Amino acid sequence: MKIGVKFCGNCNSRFNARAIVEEILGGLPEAVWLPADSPEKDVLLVISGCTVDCATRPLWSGATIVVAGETVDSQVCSNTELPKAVSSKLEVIRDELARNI
Amino acid sequence: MKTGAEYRESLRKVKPIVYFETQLIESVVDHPLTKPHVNAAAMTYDMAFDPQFEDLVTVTSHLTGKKISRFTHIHQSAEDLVKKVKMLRAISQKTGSCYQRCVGFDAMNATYATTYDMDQKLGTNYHKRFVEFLKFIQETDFMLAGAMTDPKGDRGLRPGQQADPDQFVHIVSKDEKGIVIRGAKQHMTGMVNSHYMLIMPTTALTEEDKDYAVSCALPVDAPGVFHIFGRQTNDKRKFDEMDQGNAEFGVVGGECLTVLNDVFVPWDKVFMCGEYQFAGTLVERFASYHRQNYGGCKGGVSDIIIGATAAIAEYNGAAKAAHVKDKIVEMVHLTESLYACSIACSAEGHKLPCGSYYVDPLLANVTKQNITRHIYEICRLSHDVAGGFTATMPSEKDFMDPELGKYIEKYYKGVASFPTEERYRMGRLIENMTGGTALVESMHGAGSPQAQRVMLTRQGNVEYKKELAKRLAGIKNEVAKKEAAPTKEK
Repeated sequence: MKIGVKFCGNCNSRFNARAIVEEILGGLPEAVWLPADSPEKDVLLVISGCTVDCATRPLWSGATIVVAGETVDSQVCSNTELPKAVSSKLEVIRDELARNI
Repeated sequence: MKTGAEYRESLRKVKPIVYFETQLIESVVDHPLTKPHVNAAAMTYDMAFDPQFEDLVTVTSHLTGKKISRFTHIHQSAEDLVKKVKMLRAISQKTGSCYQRCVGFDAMNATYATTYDMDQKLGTNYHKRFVEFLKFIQETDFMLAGAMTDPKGDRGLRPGQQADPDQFVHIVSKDEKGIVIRGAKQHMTGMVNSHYMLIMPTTALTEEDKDYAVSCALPVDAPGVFHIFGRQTNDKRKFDEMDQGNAEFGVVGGECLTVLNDVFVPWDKVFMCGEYQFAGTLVERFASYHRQNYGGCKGGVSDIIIGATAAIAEYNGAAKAAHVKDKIVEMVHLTESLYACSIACSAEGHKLPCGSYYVDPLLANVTKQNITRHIYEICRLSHDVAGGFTATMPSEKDFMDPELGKYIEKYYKGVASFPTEERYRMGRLIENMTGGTALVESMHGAGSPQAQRVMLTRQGNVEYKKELAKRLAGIKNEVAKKEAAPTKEK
């Protein structure tokens, strides 16, 4: 699965954004990290350091997961639970993609 | 855009004349006194290519549609103003010191807007010239030093009244090719490791001062220009490593005195030449943009001071003490208060006639005024928690000495599980970031406290507040009188 990752810039981040992404990808050996604007991505993962979620988005109408502070797609989620919550969502998207193929 | 390495290489082609203690600095990229400041500026270039930060550090040019460094951008929205502050905080968290490019950034935004206003009112063509220069800066990603502060001589006299006319940069002559300027600019942040400088007047001017109404751009190595690099607290430690505290990025911005000895500037780089009526506008806009920054950059610097203070408390074995925890919370509160001011003056930004966006000047000045206080308090709390050893430690050379080092290792030990060197290094970082030059920069950078208070006086609208109070106090006649006959203040 090809994941386009978009960071907000993390000026006042509530977590270590890069470490979170590395942990997520570490749990998904088949995942590939791409630039957010890559046309090859299967899913867009937005990593905003706080709930302001000011990351600009590339034009994209496909599957998107938004981490904003201690939330995943607006659902409250602690720092420690964040990687697992995102991984679970990515696995669902991966399975859907596989079915569609 | 340039990478940090490309920025360094491009600087090697610039040949500014820079003196320190009477000696010429041959290469600002390599000399121990200037290298940390080059490294800090290089960080602004490298972060533009880092996916984690590019959303803040890069932007699309409204002139060319190309992706450019935000440091060469003209703000197109309040969101741009907010992102500027966020970018500054993110970069400061990496460098812990000044990376200098905001000065030229603010100078460009102020000049862009003011040249437009001048052309509209006076029929001049400065804005078009400036836009061409701006495109050149965006394309080359050159670093631009904003050059505003004149020496000012007798502060009680206007520029045209000075015994020495060179106390303010002024036009000496002009012909069909361009102008010749003379004078000096002080406290020039990042000047020696920039490619160009953008000269602006330092104060509002009257008709008798019209020769001082000059704005122009010139290379930092133009004929007639030389720089005398400024001293910093403990600057000879730049020849050491641990004793610097922040060996890679130094402290503040590597300021200098820039002397302009009859420097020729061609007309295509001249953006104000005698239009004294607009000097005040240019100064006020630059100052407000620059004061906007401080909750961002000092917010990021304070993040590191907070981290260093929390770490030193652990090394000291005092991290669990309630008063230490409370002091660190207070440091967080002060830091976020500074940041909140910068965000607020940006979010409240508005559109100027030229289409660019300008901060709320009242809130921008409040931001900087708070910096002159809160940074001192943040640093005071850091000193309080860290302890006196940050100011009295023996030297790095003694620490590394096979005989003396054993005693330093033994008697500067804190909690047993931490190496003494960690405590030593963290103490030095706190010393570097919380005293001397760094503190004075918080006070006077972007203008002294009184300069902000002048702006607060102008914009605070105390007369209106008096009316509000009188209305509540039931002083009806006074209110009715004012409503019937507006006062001069109205």
